[in-house]
Amino acid sequence: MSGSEAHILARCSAFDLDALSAVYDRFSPALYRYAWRLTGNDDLAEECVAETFGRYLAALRAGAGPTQNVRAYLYRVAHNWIGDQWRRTWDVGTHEELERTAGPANTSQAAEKSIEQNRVRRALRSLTPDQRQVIVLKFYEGLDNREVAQAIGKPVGSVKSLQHRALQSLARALGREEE
Amino acid sequence: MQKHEPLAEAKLDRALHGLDKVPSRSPDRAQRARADFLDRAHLLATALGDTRSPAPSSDSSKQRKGIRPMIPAIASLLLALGLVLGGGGAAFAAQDALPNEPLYPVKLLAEDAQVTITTEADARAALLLQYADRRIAELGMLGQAAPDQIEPVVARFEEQLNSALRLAAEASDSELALRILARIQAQLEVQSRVVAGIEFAAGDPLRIRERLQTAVQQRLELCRLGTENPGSLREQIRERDQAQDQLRQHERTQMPTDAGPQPGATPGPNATSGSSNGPGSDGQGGTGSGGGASGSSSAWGPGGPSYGAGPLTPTPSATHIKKRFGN
Repeated sequence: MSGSEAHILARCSAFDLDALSAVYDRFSPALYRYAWRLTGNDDLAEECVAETFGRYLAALRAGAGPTQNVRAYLYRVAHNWIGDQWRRTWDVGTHEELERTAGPANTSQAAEKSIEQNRVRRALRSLTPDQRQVIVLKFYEGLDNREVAQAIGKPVGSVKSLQHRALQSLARALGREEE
Repeated sequence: MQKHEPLAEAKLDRALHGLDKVPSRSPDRAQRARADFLDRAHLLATALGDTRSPAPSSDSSKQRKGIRPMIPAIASLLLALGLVLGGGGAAFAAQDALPNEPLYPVKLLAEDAQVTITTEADARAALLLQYADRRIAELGMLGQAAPDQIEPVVARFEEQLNSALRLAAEASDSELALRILARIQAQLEVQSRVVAGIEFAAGDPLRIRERLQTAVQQRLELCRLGTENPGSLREQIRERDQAQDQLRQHERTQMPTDAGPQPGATPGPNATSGSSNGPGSDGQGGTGSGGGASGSSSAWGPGGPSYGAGPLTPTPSATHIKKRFGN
């Protein structure tokens, strides 16, 4: 939506429902995936999407909100929300979640996959917020360095070094878990 | 301190790919989340005092034919009030006022004035529906409030819906009537979803929700009735208006005047007025009784003499509003 993005976002600021629908339809699926990867939980992923767009509306209402690159803005909001949840108690990969995601027809395989996914999530959680966001946005969402830089509000050079350090940390964290 | 071997690059890559696949999102939940988002956006736009309301009709031919209703006394009063309060500044400042705030009566008067000067029925209906949306938004944002602050808001919400329906019933042609009914129906459906999802902190949340939902559902029924048989809708409205007028008349004869009841005094000519609060015989104006309503029922519905879970309050007139909300 880059060509007409500024125009669409201006209409969003005026609470034009068609424009808001366009933004929602364009970005909510990706935000859901983003949230699910980090939380591993359908409910939390849905909540994250709802909260992210809710905060976007609140920002618009306050006369704020992005005038360009709404994708970066939404990812930042979602990332902050997930960080808040992590700071409050929730434990990645509870037994209940494991049982829920592991289907009855393929229990051992699903459970093994879920354990592996939670291992990666724990490793991601051990990163700094910026490092984590760089990894998720680059490797899973396919953003380039410039877009990631906008999402985390840092220069492109910082993204590269964050990525480098993040991969080192991940390798250490996952290596530790393997032993 | 134990030293851990970092994961090899290939293993790291494989591990990260473990999160590649995301289970597909439930279509139902996704659809519901989208609807919630748009309802919320709609509500916020309304709460902000969306000024994108339909412009007053520019159809001068209708005005020449004398269809334009005479601007009633309330508009003049409002103009004077506006001047006293500092012109449009007060009305602007009042746009976001909530029922427990001093500027709220100004907001309502500004709405009444806007409805009064909007002569085209379709545009007028849209305006009334927009203002009805505001009432829901206000109830959602009211926080803790006394019941006597909630009741007038709910009553005005009902009145504004009634007034919009009345415009459909009294439309000059069936095409216009159907257009207005379709607009009302679409808006009622949004309101129903908004009411279901909104969190009310004021008063008794369950009761407010039930009351609003009842009001919305009953008017949806009337929309369907009007779409199938416009004559029946007109009849329903006429009957309810008459019942309400009688109720008012009864209340007025029971109520002491401001000067106090004079034993044995004969009521003056204004004391029995049941139909004098509308601007004319077309019944579409009536802003003098608040909410742009034609000064009639807040109690007509398809099934019975009254609806809603709570007590019915006559349309909050400017005087009532002043009494309830202060100056």
